[in-house]
Amino acid sequence: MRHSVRAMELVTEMNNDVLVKDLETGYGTKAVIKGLSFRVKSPFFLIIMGPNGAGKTTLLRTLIGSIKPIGGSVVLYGIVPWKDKAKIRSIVGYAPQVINIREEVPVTVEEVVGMGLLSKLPPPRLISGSLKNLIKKYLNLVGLDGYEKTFFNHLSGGQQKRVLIASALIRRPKVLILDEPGSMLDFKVRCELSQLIEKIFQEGMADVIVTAHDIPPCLSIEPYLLLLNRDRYAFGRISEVLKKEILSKIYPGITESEGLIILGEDHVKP
Amino acid sequence: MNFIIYSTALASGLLAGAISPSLAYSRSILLGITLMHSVLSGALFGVFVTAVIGLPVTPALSAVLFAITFSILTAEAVNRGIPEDAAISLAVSVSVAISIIFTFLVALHVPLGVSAAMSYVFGISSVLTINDFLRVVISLTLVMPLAHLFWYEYKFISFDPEGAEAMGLSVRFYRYLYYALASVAATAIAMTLGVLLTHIIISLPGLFALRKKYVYPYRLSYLAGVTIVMGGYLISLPLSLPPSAGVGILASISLLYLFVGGKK
Repeated sequence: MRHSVRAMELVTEMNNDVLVKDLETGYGTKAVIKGLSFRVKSPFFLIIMGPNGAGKTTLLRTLIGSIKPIGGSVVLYGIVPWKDKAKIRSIVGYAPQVINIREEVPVTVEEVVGMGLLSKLPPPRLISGSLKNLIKKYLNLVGLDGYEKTFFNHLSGGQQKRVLIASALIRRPKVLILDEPGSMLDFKVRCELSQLIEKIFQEGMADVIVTAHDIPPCLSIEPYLLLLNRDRYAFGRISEVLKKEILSKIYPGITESEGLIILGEDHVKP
Repeated sequence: MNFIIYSTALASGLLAGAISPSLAYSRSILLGITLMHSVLSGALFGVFVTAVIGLPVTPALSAVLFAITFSILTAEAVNRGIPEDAAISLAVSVSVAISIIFTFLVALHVPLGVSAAMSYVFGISSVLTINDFLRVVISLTLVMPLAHLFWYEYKFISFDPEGAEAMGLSVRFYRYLYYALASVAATAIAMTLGVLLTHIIISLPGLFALRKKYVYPYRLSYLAGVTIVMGGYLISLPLSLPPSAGVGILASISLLYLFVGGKK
């Protein structure tokens, strides 16, 4: 009887495409995130939101297998990321923060997008004619027709994010993981970028996980929201989580003024 | 004799041109200091064990092995959170200590040992043999195809290491392969031009290409490498200087042009 209950639990767990249980993760033995649990089933659009230093990027790095958790477990589409990096990287399309990119290296848009696919293949990695056509298709998808030969560092912030999305998407991933795609962009560009990401999700091209400091604007769907600040978190649909009493636990600097809630950027001391 | 000298100069220039873009684009010029000091300590170690102990470890082989080991250890230290300048300082300190110890031991046990040691510092570019030429050519044959084969990966890893890792490229593997190639190239060039000059020669062509923002920098890199080395040899003759001195003068003028007059 106990065995069948355990088997039922396992089946339930396997049905979740992202399963995070009692997760403790960070760098070395220093935990940034503690006691995090949530599960979500495909198709999903998940926003991971929290203040600076809350552990958003650390969680993403754990999800893509770059960090081995200190405790607890992470399973992505039935794969334990840190155990099977090759497999997890074949199903993930990841776009890092632009701030981590060395723009002085002269790389063209075509090269950035092309490497998205070529990195899945063995050397020699050359941009062939058929790959050029595929790159054009994905650049068209993100609204950057004719930018193939443009240097990445000659693009605006919003265009650079689109290139990174195309590079992640050309891999035909199961899940698109974007680290702060809206950072350092004005509202209009953030709005256009959110709509692009929503379109990718709505057309069933990939599940989406996005980190952000606040809710990406102009979304017409109601995504899942993981509010995170190190050892504190809340998870659910936006309407369930975006409540002042929950926000005030995640954002200690929260203030209310004339009916508006202003999120502080204070950290919670671990 | 002149044929060997100029052929070696040409091959050295091409070798510098082949290895330099990755060094410049990955911002590893400082790591080159570790490389060159370890080439020197390795060569001196090789002179000692060959001449005194009688082991079949040639200076060239031990120089390559020292360079690979020290550059990988330095990179690992940086990966594990030690600041780059501290890791390089540590590697250079250890290399210098080894160099001093083996210079002393070589001078003590080998006739003309000090001049052998000094030849690795300043080069033997005016008294090259067919073996020196062959060493550079073999290194070029090994380094050039591999540098080209993995150029796209090296450039992408320099551009976005985090993204490259997430895409499944083994950043560590490519870096270590590059250090091995750079060690082979640096050793071959250092054995003719000397350790002091080699650091400049393997950095300059790539810096030119990076400065000019070339997507595919090899044409400019080879041109710069060959021009500086061959040009150095050519200008040293009427000035009655050792060829490596001519190369040094041309390299200095090139650096001045690059950073003062060579704005894009």
